[in-house]
Amino acid sequence: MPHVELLGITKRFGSLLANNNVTLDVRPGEVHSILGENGAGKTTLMNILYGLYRPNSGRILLDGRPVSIASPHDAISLGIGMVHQHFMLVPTLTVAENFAIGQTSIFRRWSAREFEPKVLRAAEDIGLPIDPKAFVSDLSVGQQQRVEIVRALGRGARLLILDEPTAVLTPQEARELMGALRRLTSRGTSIVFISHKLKEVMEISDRISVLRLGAHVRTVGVKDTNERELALMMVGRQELETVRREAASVGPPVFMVRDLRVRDERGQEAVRGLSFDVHEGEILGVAGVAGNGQTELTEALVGLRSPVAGSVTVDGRELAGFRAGRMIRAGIGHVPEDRQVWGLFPDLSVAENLIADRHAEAPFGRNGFLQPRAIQSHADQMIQDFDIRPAGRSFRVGALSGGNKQKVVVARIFARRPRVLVINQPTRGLDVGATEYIRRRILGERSRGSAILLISADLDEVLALSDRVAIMYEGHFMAILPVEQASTERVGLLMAGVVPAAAPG
Amino acid sequence: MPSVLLEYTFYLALLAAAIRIAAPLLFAALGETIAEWAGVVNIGLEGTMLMGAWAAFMGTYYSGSGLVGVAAGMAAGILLTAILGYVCISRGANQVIAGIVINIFAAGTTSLIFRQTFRLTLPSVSSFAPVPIPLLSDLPVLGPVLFRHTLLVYAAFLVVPVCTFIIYRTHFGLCLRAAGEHPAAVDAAGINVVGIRYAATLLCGALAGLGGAALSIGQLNQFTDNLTAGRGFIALAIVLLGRWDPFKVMLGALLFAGADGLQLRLQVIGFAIPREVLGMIPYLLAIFAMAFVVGRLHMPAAMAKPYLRES
Amino acid sequence: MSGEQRETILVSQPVVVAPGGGRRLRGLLVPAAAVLGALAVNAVLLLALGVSPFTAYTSMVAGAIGSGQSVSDTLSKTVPIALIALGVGLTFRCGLWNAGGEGQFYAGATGAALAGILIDAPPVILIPLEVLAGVAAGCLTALVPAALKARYNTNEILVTLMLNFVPHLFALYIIQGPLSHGYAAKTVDIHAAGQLPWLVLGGLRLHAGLLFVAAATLGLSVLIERTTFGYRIRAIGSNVFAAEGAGIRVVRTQFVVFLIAGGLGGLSGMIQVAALHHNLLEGMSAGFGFTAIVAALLGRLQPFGVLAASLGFAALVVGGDSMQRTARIENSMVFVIEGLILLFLLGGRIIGRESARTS
Repeated sequence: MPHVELLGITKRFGSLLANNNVTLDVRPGEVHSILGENGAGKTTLMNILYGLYRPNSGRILLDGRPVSIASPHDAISLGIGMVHQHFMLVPTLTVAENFAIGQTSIFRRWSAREFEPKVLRAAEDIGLPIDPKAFVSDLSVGQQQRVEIVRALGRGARLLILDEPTAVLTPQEARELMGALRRLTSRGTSIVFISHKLKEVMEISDRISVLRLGAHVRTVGVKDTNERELALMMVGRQELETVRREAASVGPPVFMVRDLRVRDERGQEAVRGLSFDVHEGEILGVAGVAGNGQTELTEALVGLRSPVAGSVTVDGRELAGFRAGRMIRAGIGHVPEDRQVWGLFPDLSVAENLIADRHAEAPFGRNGFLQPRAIQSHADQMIQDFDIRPAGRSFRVGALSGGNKQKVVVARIFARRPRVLVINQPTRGLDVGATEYIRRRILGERSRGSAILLISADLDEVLALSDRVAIMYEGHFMAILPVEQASTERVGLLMAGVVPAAAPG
Repeated sequence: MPSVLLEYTFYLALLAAAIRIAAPLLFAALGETIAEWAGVVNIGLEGTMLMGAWAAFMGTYYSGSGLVGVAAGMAAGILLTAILGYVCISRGANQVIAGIVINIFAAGTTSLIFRQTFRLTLPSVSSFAPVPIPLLSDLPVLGPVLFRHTLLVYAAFLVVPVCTFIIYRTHFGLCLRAAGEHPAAVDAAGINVVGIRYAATLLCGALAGLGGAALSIGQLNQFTDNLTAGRGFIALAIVLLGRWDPFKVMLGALLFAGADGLQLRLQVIGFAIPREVLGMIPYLLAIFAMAFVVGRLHMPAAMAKPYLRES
Repeated sequence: MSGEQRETILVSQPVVVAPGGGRRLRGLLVPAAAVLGALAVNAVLLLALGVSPFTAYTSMVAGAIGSGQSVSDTLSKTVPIALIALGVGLTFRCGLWNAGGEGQFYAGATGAALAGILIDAPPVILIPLEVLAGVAAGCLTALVPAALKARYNTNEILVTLMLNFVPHLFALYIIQGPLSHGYAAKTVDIHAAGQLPWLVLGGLRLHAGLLFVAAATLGLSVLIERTTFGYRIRAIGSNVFAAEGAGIRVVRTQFVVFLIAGGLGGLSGMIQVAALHHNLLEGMSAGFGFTAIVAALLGRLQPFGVLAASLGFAALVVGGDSMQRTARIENSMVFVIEGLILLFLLGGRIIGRESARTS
């Protein structure tokens, strides 16, 4: 008897069909992975199971009986727990307080004394120690995830859903997580593991269900398949194109940073004395778990945050502390981490977005007036060059898909032919097609001779595109390695702040 | 410099006045504190207070009972914030715009009904006499200052520890704080975020209405157009100054009430500055405080953002 | 404003919802329904007060557009509302909450009145001086929130709301004080040389201020859509972070925009003094500042839309005044209707909708 069955689940968001008649089941005590690329509908499906969304049609059976899950409250009382990709923890509260939310009647008193022992007991039970008095904002990402897991299990979850849990962990932390999950299944807890990473899915699963574009492709036992087959099911193409990096023709150093120190919002040093060079025509990748200073580093390098010390030069010109406009004119291009927040003007047209940093300069602006014809012809050219869809220069950018939005951002930045590029998480949230396209364009800029700093939490991306790899941990570069020497094992240790004993020869 | 300013009795009377004047501000500010913890900003606080003041007056005038007036004031406040809540929480409208609209609506409605009923007459009520607390009010010096106020004034100050308890010591308060910071987390934990926000908004309405009642039937004993004269906005500033902590909010209310009381007394004793200019003091103080004291705040992260599950 | 300053933003920016193509019909139907709904709810209220809604509404319509005089009055009333609304709309477009129209109006009125009363000069000098005084006073009033925002990132909603009371009180001081008329709550008249002339056009007596309104509407329209400065305003209003990232000087632009709005508000007050009242009067502004905010939102922050909305509200206000004179129904009813229309529009998700952020 399966533990949970999802039958014919369909979910629409307006005109977008996120889940298309999906049917699958989870057996008691198994690790069932849901594999698919970005946009396949994995998270939507599990959000339906957890009660955050209601399906347009379909049924859910628990232990053979039909159930109605109208809210997370229902899911929790049915023994379903979920650890989301973006944690559902309140950072300004303590672990115990986060634990307590929803655990007692609304009218009762709340006291730390009552809940702290409960937290400790639950944590001990599962073998993942956590401190109930700590504020969530002070915990590392790995520790926060532990809190989420302990909390879900503490509420009596017999089915635990994990959404891309290793996206924010170092390889070593990921292995610890796998160990904890195996302990759980040995006690009868069922686990649904959402991921787009083939290797770890092969490692941990009993069965794997592949979703593509909202539809269920197939469910296979892990022993009956291999990585290549799974990849083909995920992407649906006969041949997989992988982005190939050619040998670099690297020039002299163009972008030089010395002893850079940057403070974060709370006044603490996020970047602690960083020094590096980026050469003409090379990509220096920065690997590392998000939250180790990458955001502050980027902001300091592109003029969105003033460093407290250090120098940033392009072709010898000192630029540290200048604001964004100056940096742009000095030849620094910035592909931002969060295009919605930093890169796009949703209410303006595609054409207007494309000239944002050049609107006051010729040929787009003359004597304080905009020049519509120059703006339009530029837009037409960019739309064709970057294959932006829908192909209309007056469309509101807010209406475009994620991939096309990123193309607009990239088109705007690259059109200026910047000397230096600072690129942060360029393919986050994009499907495979858009991801490949963006990566190819980045390599194109590299061939053109741009000096590129590529920051990404996606280790595979960094290793695939970079000539040299820096590993960032707590505001330092632990090491800068040529990519040939950057094995996953070695980089993983460095990402966790561990310096490997002896470098293999 | 008038000699009366050098006598300590002036300042004792000022303190008593400050306590009295603070009551309406305090009610409104405490209500707003609760709402803002949950992530709801009520720019319509001014209109809510006004509506409460008007309803309390009408209720007392027609029934002769102060208690009926208080109940009417609270009810009017709840009704108005229910409208705000529906428009913002359930329909996702921008909270600032909705607040401004509430102010316009409240000003129009209260003025229309009041003037249509009373025309040019200026009715008044008096139903709240000061109630001295036995023993305490006979203490030397501070006795008469602190313990000879109306029931509404005592109530205002008693609500301060009640709010503190609710916000920091109850499960409801925990969910409140979480909802204003990370509503998705509260939803995922199984608590009804919409319900929490509505509850906070309606509580704000009840307290703001009570504040209006304290103003019209507790303090001024009358109602006119625009009676609140910006007190609702000052209450909003007080909440920020007090950093959403009920006790600090109380201190802020006393500060503004003191300034208001001071400028009124200066008018009476014929201080050199024209009285209209003296009347500017509370507003200028609020602006000054906003600019230079409020500074860098960590405010609830989900402030004024509608929470929509499927977005 | 960098990542450092993100925390102190109290609320998100005013939203500009650009109308979509296919939603045109719905875009007309729902506002019409909102108006009807508002009139219906208000009718219920009137009945409860023992007043006939029929009388109320017919006298309002008659008062607003029933005769040449009515139409002239409506057009005249459009001037102060529209000028403030254009300024407010501009600030909203740039991501700023400017609720200070009321105060800027009174400041401008006071400044112009002082100039008109104290200075004796021929019209060709006095009138420009009045304009200068009015605009400068409005700018000065807007300077406070603008500077505080620029320097300390102080939240401008509360500052502008509270600052409204200050110029109003100052105007009261002038009215009660040295320049008082003596018997009525107003000052002595300004010199005849400082009075703006009226135009007579085909049976309508039109306000000279209409010329200012026309110029401002056209000017702002060109500014917003065609200039690089206007581009910056729109970019900031759409996404202030991305604007910063694209090298736009956000603080500088917002500061200037705030002052422009202040100047328009001051101009509005000046025209009321110079063309209509010829002195400074208690209660000159019938809530123009707040009506202007609503007109700006209904006009979708586009200058011509704002003008049209201002015209609509002017009709409402004039109708209300006439209704008070003829039917003895309090003109505060106008605000009740205004409030109800907007509540329906907000509830119907026509205005004030947060733009959803996805992928």
